[in-house]
Amino acid sequence: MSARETIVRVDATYDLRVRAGDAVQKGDRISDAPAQQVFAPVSGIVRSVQFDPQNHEFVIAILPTA
Amino acid sequence: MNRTFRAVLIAVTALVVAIVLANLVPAAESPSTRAKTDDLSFYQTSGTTAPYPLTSDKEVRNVILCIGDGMGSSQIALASTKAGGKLYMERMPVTGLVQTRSANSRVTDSAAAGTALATGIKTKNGMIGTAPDGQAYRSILELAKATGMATGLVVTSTITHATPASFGAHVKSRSSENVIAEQLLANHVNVLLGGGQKFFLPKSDRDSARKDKRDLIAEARQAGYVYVTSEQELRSTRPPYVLGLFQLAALTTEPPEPSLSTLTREAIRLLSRAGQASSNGNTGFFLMVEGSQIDFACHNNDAKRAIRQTLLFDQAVQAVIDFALQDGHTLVIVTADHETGGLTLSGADEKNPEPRVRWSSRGHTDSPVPLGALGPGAAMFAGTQDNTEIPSKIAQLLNIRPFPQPAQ
Repeated sequence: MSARETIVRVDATYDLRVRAGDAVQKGDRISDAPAQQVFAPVSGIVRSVQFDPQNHEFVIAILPTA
Repeated sequence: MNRTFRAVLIAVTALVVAIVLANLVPAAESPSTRAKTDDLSFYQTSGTTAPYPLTSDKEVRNVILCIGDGMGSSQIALASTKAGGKLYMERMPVTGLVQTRSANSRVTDSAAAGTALATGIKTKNGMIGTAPDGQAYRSILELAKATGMATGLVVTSTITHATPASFGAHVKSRSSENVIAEQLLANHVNVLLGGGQKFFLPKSDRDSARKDKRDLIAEARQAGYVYVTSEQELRSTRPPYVLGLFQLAALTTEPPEPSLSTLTREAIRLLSRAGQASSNGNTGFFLMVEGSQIDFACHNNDAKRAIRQTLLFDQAVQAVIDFALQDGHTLVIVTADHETGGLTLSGADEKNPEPRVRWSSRGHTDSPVPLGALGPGAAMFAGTQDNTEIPSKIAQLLNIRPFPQPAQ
């Protein structure tokens, strides 16, 4: 993980609205979770989406644009 | 160098290498545990497509509930295609479909689905063994235990993960795995096999995930449990209480761990004997077996791992069926808590027998999941049903009333 990356964790029950390589704007909704609406905290590029089985969460790494 | 000396040196070196290699592969290891993701040679189909026989209406003494986490019809079809024949779970004589929605969403998680399969009530995603208002409900495992039956949970996740937790714990959040560990032991579940040592170790241990000084492994021993961490120890242990934790977190499903089918066979051996030692003469048992990591693979949209995990789960189902057919008094139910990944298969024809694999989601879906049943009482599970009906029907067959049942 790059030191510049912003990490967002989200419940993996629901589908994601982003994939690796997508560009996101700050405030974009990034998960379908109805009860836990998660928005991109920064504008940037989604570098990776990994599944964390222990916590049943997606770990989304966003590289902020300058 | 002298030619004779060189020959002796080569022979000795070969012998040493052979001994080292032999020790790297334990003698007790089954072929299944040597498999890698791309290597499915560990799995052998039964070589027939015929369904297993419908058994007569004998008394139900044992119930084994097998849950493939995230396993929809397409996961089974894909694994079957790769295996080159029908899976064991595809030969169940009674089949049905199960609707999986939770109390607050069309798309369930494993906590709400596990709670439905264990307690017969709908709850919100994330909650374990409780109604949406927080009222705890007794699980079919707990109620079976109250009648004198032996009980067991076998998984490839942590033993405190959402599905096993639903059968032996009551918490508002699935993430409370430290509390779940305490409750599983307090419930005196006879056989607990899986991963998750870190939730049982005191915080003084560097591998611990606990925030207190409780050493649950020591507490389990004091309560009468035998604690094992290897296949060899498991095979030599005796009932009535066995805690087997084979990793700090989830199992790797690779050697030298015991495979899910080995864990299942050992659990059946232990529970059969634990039941015989029951004080009230009830010799039966309730066992839940979960192929936990089908879900993990499908969240990653990883078809190869999904196939492998489904076949590993099917091997465990085979072990269950072998016992049930011999015993004659064992009801077997194979189903899933939900589908993961929105997997569909298309495009296969005679020229290209490989199906095209498409994933429509990284999360769970609300697709109904398949159910197969075998043994006395199996006919009750035919057709389409809600997931809460499954433990209700089991309770009916075991004469457990009322059900669902709130905890006091």
